[in-house]
Amino acid sequence: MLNLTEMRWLDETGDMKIAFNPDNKDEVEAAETQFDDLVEKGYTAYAAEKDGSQGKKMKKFDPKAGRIILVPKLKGG
Amino acid sequence: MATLSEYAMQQQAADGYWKQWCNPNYYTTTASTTIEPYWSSWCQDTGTAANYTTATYYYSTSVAAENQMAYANWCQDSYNAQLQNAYNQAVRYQYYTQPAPAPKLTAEQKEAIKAARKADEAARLKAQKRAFELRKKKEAAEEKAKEMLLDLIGEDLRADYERTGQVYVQGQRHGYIIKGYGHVKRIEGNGKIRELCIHLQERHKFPDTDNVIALLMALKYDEERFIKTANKHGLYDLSHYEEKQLEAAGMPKDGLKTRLELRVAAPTLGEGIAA
Repeated sequence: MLNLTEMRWLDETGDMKIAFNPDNKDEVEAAETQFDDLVEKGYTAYAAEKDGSQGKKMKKFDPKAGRIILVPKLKGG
Repeated sequence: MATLSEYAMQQQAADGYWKQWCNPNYYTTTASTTIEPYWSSWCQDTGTAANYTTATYYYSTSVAAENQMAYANWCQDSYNAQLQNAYNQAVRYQYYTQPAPAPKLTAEQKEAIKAARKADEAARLKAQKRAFELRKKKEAAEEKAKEMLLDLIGEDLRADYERTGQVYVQGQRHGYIIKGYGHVKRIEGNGKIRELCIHLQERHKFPDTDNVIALLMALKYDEERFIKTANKHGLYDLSHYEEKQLEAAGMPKDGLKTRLELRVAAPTLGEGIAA
């Protein structure tokens, strides 16, 4: 069974989601471009297990992360 | 109907004449032709029967007795200024309190007004439709965000969030209650709660639950930075009411006691805000 990596990021519509094959170079490149664009906009990336048990902040794109979640910048209120 | 500006201009012009009429040196024999339109307007006269040079020949079915007397005074060379002023006041009051006469509109003007009203109505409906679509989009975005939250916290906590509008999160150091709009409560220990304020930089662009998701991720996987970013507010005792709120937000019933005991036993965190 193919293990796809899921990448989600928050936006005005709630969130956007893509899934890609971490072994497919083209799909990985497209996902990485999207990842870099968002990080450049100030998003923070987290790698999280799909069951939510484990997770960490990502410093660079990892196509085998399982699930990647990007959230926009936070500020103190 | 006369426009406001026309009516205002008419009033201004009449005011000029009014001052002239109230002047004891005023003589109507030289000014009667210029005042006639205003007098006609005041008296609601049709303008067909009146001879405006003397009061004797003036007729109007709607004119008040005071108007006739005032006009008579205005039109005579030797008048009693005091009496005139009294009547003038009555006439002036009547003039300024009666509605402006409706002008007769041409067919073209009527069409133009009709078209303008139609355009206004179309614009109103368009704005209403746009507002409705915007609201639907926001509702759809909120629903989508809640689905994502469900993926992250599971059915039970999601149900608590639906019921209470807040969700409990366990960070590496503390337990937290996240509410929408960026209000966070941190369980400090010793029965204390610290209020924190932190939210998405452009939170108004996002559905409320996206704000909760962003705080949740930061708390679970980047608590240090979360603490540095958040503004710290009040520190207060955990009341019975608060305890109920925490339970309602999904924390296990015995969780608070356990966590507080652990917190008391733990070393000071060194960030300068712990109780």
